Amino acid sequence: MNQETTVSTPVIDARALAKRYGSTVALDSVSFKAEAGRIVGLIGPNGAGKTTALNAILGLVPADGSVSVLGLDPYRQRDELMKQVCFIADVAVLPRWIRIQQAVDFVAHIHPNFRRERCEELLGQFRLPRKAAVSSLSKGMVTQLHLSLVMAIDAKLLVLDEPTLGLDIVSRKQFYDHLLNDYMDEERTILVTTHQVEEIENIITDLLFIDRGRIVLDMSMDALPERYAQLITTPDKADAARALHPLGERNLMGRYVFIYEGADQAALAGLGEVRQPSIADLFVAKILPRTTP
Amino acid sequence: MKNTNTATTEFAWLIRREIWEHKLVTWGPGILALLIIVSGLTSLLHLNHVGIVLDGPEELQTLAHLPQAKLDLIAGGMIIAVTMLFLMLANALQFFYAADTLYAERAQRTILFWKSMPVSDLRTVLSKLVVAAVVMPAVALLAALVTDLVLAMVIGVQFRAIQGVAGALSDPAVWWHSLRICLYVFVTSALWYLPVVAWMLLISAWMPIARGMRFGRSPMLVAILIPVAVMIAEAFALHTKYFYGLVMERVTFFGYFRTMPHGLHANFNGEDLGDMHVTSTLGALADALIHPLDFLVAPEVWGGLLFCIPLIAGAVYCRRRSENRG
Repeated sequence: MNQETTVSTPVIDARALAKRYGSTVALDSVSFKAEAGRIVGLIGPNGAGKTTALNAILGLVPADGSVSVLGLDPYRQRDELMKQVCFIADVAVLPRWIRIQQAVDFVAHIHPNFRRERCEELLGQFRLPRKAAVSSLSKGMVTQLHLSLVMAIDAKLLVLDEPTLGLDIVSRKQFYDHLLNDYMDEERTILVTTHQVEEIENIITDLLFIDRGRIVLDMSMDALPERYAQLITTPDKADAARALHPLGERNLMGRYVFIYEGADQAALAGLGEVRQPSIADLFVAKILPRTTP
Repeated sequence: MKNTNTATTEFAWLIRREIWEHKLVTWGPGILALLIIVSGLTSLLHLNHVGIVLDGPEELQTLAHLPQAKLDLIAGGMIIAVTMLFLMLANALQFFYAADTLYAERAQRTILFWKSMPVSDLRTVLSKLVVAAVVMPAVALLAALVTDLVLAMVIGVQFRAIQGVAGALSDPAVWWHSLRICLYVFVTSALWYLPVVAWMLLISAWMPIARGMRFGRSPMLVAILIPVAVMIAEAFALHTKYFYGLVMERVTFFGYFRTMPHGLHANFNGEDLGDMHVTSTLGALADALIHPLDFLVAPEVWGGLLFCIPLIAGAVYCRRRSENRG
C-alpha cells in the first residue's frame, strides 16, 4: 500500500453498512467516515448497534454494504488489517492464565509492529510484576497491561469498546491520560465507544450518535456549539422557549432546561442562560424522543 | 525497531501459547510417568522385601532358560506395553483438548484478544490441530521413553541374576526395534485419529455458547451425541448400520488394527496364525509391522485424512464468523 492513498483516503469509510440477526436489525444502512488524527466517539444506548458496527470495522463479522479500513476489507483481510489496527474489546478479554512476561513475549513474536522496549517502559511505569498471571491482577492492572501492549504497537487505528468498563475513577482517568499524552498523534486515529460519555467529552474530536442501527448525529466537536445550544430558564419563560421548537426539555429543580438544534442563539439568550450542551444532555435530547414513543 | 517475524516463528509461538495454556499437555504424561515409575519401584522393592529377587523364584528362573529371541520379545513387549499406556493418555487428552479449545476461547471471550493479533483463523486452527495431533503424542512418547529407561534400569538391577531379561533390556537392538514400533504406532495412530480430532475442533468452533444451560456447555458431549443421533436416525429410517460401523471402526482400536499387515492384525484379533514365524523375533515383528506405504494407501486412512479437510475448513469458517455480541 503506498503512502499517498493512506493519507488521502479516510481511515474508516463505511457505506450503507447493514447487519441483521434474524428479524432484528442491528445496523440499518450506517455510513460514516473517520479521518486520520481524529478521536471519534461512537455513542449510543444499549442494543443500538455500537458493537456490531465495531465488529464490522474490525472484520469480526461480515456485513452488508461496504466498509474499508485503511484501504482494506476488514472481514476478508482481518489478519492483514490487524498489523495496523489495535483494539481493546473490554477489560475481560486477556486470558486469565497468561503471565505478563508471556503476553509480552507472545505479542513480540506475533506482531510485526510491536516495539518491545516501548512496552517494557510502559510496564515499568505501571509497575506491573512480570511474573504475575492475569488472574492475580486487579481489573485496573489488567487494563494497564492491555494498554501497555496496545500502546507499544505502531498502529494507525485504535478501536476501544467500553475500555474502562469496571474500572474505578482513578484508573479511568489514567487510562485516557495515557492515551492522549503517550499515544495519540496526528497520524493515528481512535474510535471509542463508552457509556461514560462525560469521561470522553473533552477528548474526542468527532461525535457519532447511533440509535436503532442508524447514525442520528455525525459532526465534529468544533461544529457542535454552533449547531446545538442548551437554554436554562425559569418556568414563566418556558412556553416562549417551547415555541422555539426545542429537541427536548427537562425540569431540573424548578428550572427548565431546553436543548435546541440550529436555533437562533441570540433569541435564546433573551430567555435565559445559554450554554453548550454536554454530550450526555445532547444524547438524551436526540435519542430519548425516539426511544419513548 | 520492528520485528521481522517469519511465518515459522509465528507458528511456533502459536503452539507455545497452547502449551502455556494447556498444562496437561506436559503434566499429564509427566504424572503418568511418575505413577508408573513409583508403582514399578514399590512392587519391585516389595518383591525384594519378601526375598524373592536375587536368585529368583523357580518361575522366574525358568525365564532364564527361554531362548534369547523370546526374552527379547518379553523385554520389547514390556517397553511397548508401557509406551502404549502413554499413547492412550495422549489420545484421551487430545480429544478433550480439541473439543474444548475453540469453544473455551469464545466462552471466555479471550478470542477477542487473539483476534486483535494479525494471525489468520486458518493458522490459529492449524496450530491447535498440530498441538493435538503432533505435540501431545510427541510429549507423551518422550515421557514414555523416560519411563521405559527408568524401569529398565530398575529391572536390570533387581533381576541381574536372570541374565536373559536383564540382558535383553540392555541390548541396543531390543531398544531399537521396540522404539521403532512405538514411534510407528504413535505416528500412524495420530494419522488414524486425525479425523476425530478435526471433528472435535469443528464442534468446538461451531457450538453456540450456552450460558446457564449445563447440558449445552460440553462440546465433547455434543461431539459424541451428534454421531449417535445420526446412527439412531439411520437405524430407524434406513434400517442399516453403515454409519455406526464407520464410526465404531474409527474410534475403537479395531479399525486401526485392520490397517496393519494381515498376519499382525490376525494376531491381535486372536485368529489362528499360520505364519507364526512373522513374530518369532522382535526385529521380525518390527519389520512385519512397519509398512508406512501400505498404511497410507489403505482407503480408511487416506479417506479419513481427506475427510479432515472439510472438517478443518468448517472449523476455520466458524471461528472466522464467531463474533462478539457484547
